[in-house]
Amino acid sequence: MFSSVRSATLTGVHGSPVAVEVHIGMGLPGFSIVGLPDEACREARDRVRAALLSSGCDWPNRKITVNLAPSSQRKAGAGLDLALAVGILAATDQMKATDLADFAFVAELGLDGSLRSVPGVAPLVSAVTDCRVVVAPTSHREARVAEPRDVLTARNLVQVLTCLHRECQWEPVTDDGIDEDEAPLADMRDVRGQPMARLAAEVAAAGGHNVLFVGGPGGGKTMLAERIPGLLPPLDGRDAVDVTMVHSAAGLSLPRRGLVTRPPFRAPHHSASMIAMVGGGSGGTMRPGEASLAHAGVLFLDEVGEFMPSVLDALRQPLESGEIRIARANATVTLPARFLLVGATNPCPCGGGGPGACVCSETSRAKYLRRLSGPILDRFDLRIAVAATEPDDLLDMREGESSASIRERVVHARRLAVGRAGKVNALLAAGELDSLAPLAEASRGVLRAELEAGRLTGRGYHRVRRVALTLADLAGASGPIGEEYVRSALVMRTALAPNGAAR
Amino acid sequence: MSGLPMWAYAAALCTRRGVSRRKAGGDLLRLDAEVLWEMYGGEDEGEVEQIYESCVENDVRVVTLLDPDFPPSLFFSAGVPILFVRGSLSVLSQRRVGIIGTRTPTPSGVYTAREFGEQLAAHGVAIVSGLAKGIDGAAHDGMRAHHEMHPSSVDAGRPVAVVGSGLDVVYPKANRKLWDWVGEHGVLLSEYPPGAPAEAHHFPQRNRIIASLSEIIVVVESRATGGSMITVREAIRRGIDVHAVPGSPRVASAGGTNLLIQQGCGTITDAADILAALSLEHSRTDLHRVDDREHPEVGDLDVLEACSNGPVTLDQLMIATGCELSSIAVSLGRLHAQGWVMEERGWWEALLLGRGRHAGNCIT
Repeated sequence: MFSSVRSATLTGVHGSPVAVEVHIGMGLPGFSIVGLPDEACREARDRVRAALLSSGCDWPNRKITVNLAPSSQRKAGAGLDLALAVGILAATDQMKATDLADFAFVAELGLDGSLRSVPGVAPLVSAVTDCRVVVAPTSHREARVAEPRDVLTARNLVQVLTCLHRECQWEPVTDDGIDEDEAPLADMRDVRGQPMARLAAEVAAAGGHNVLFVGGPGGGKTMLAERIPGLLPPLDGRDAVDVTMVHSAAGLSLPRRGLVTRPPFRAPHHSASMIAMVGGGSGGTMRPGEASLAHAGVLFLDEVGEFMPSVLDALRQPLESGEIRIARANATVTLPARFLLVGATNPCPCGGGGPGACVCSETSRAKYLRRLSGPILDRFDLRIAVAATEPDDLLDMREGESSASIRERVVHARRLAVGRAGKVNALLAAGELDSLAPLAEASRGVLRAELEAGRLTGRGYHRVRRVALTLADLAGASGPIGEEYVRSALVMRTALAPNGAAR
Repeated sequence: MSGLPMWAYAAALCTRRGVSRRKAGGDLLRLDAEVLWEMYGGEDEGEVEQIYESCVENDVRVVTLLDPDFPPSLFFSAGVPILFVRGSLSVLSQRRVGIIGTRTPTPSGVYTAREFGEQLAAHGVAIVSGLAKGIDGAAHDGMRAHHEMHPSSVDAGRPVAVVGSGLDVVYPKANRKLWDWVGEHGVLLSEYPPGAPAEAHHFPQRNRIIASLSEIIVVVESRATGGSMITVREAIRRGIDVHAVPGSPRVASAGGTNLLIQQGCGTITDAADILAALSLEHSRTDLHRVDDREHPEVGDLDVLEACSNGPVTLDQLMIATGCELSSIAVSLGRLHAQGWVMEERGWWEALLLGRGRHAGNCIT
């Protein structure tokens, strides 16, 4: 008359174990679920009943009470369906409850009794890794990412029952390539001309520096941004697992191997809401937002000035700490969000291009730039003016350097940086710069002159030093940072206000 | 008779609808302003009183063509019988050059205008301009720089500004300080009574006055379709010489000036050319002052040359010179410190002539 079956529920990108307790007792026939289920979870009543009946099982005409323990935590989604069905079967002696201690169930049920995958299988399974986990066939690869004791798949409820009774075999796992092979990444080779912008992309990838491309339409800003993930080294270990968990929780399709190893690229439209950007949402799930989906990859904001100011401001916390903490009345979750921010903007409303070609008034230009000024603008280590490519360069049939060969330099520079401080250069604290990246005497003079002339702010000073360090790493230079790298870093952080505003 | 002065009635005429200024000008020679005002349907003495008070309050004087100091060049050629004035009209006895140009100049255009302003001030030549954004303001700003450096100089050239709004309505607002400075050290002129807003159709009229008040016109930078071209047409119609400063063919805001030069107008490359155009004796002057900048290093010349055809981005610099960013950055840093290049929003431009001080705060 009682059974308990193991499953899991999702909060943010973390799964937590849930015990589905089923009690069947005397009383008016009824079916209630307690333990803070959300709407999808409550609707399991109808799905489970239909699935049981169409699978040829009996439905007990008695009082059924289901408790989802721990009962103080909100449960979301349909992933508890299968556990519920199995629990009812065990409680009505249609199967042996003793069989169940070793198993966990994570799948949604169709009305015909078929098993379906749910979003977030990877983090869900990671909450019950000591079990043999039963999932839908399409969830198999995702479930393997969490490395549980065993992953078992079945097509429908009948097969689950018979397999639990050892009357037949679990569904064999076939990697039949349900999702096609990943499309090849866009390659830097397609970018013609624009040596400066290419270098900026390389520096951004090597040092983790946020970069802002400023230029009129047709300057290839989007093209460049799309190619930055291809310059980053493939994700490894911890990062790959984190990214996979986030993508799984958001219900994105995963590559055939299961683990996401390619740095993600996310380009939300500028109408994105706060929740779409940083995550959250009503109910128990805290869905990861674009910032988390770009974790360990690139977050590209085209027309960055058109985003709502509050949305841009919300990115400040992840830019500083690499994670987002979302607090709601009933839950607080921490989502990973360490991304490379790539912005693109026109220099002015008319998109006119260089000085003398633009027809905007000084006021409207200042107003346009004010939309993205302040703290966010300051977080771009690299600010590059991009002009439209000259026809000669466009028609030039010679290909640019390929992403693969740039990536070799990037990987090398990153290795240097990690060997020195355990992190990429952009994350170095101001206090670490003096000991880890001392300046040559000439470089010190250059920076002092800029500071004294008011062309460099205190914050800009540290950012310029970090970029200079990355430039030196890329060039393979060791020792104190030379003048050429500091000068280069200075010109790569152009001021956006007129008349020699500070960098 | 209410005891209000005649000029208040003349000023009130300007506010009446349907009164042609040209006709009012002719009538003023024959009749009293008060009679005229009544003739044109003025009834409420309160209107006159109001305009009288706002003129007094804003330190604005009304000058009609009956007054002895009414600028002679405006006598019928501009069709302006009544002027609102702040400052001293005696400035108009200086030699006068109209310096005009686009409201959206290149940094080097601003630089040029400032340089002209400063040097013409040093040579006692007045500059007539419109106090607009861009070239207009820069020319007067250069003058102000000279006055601030030589506060005791009595025969320095002074500013003449003709604006398209009432003298108490500063437009553009960004020029407020300059506006006040012109009123104090030169003269501010307007056809419009105090309180009149800056309306688009005022500006072509205003340009006509600028043309009439100038002995020659110098266009520093203008698009082929710019408002400065209206001033140029008005000047040509009045037989006033027009000169232009040549610009790079790649720069849109030099399209109009280059076109003028193609069509045969005089070419101006420095303030000495302007003095020559005014037939002023300038052999004693030191306009061709020795460039006190350090000569650029040989290694930096490639970069300087690549910057000298209008503003370029680092991308274009790297392609033009074929050098690595690090060597370009070092060259740019050095050239910038020596005053040979300037940067605005990531665009670099060479400053081949003149001294670095004009480029605002950019160069120290």
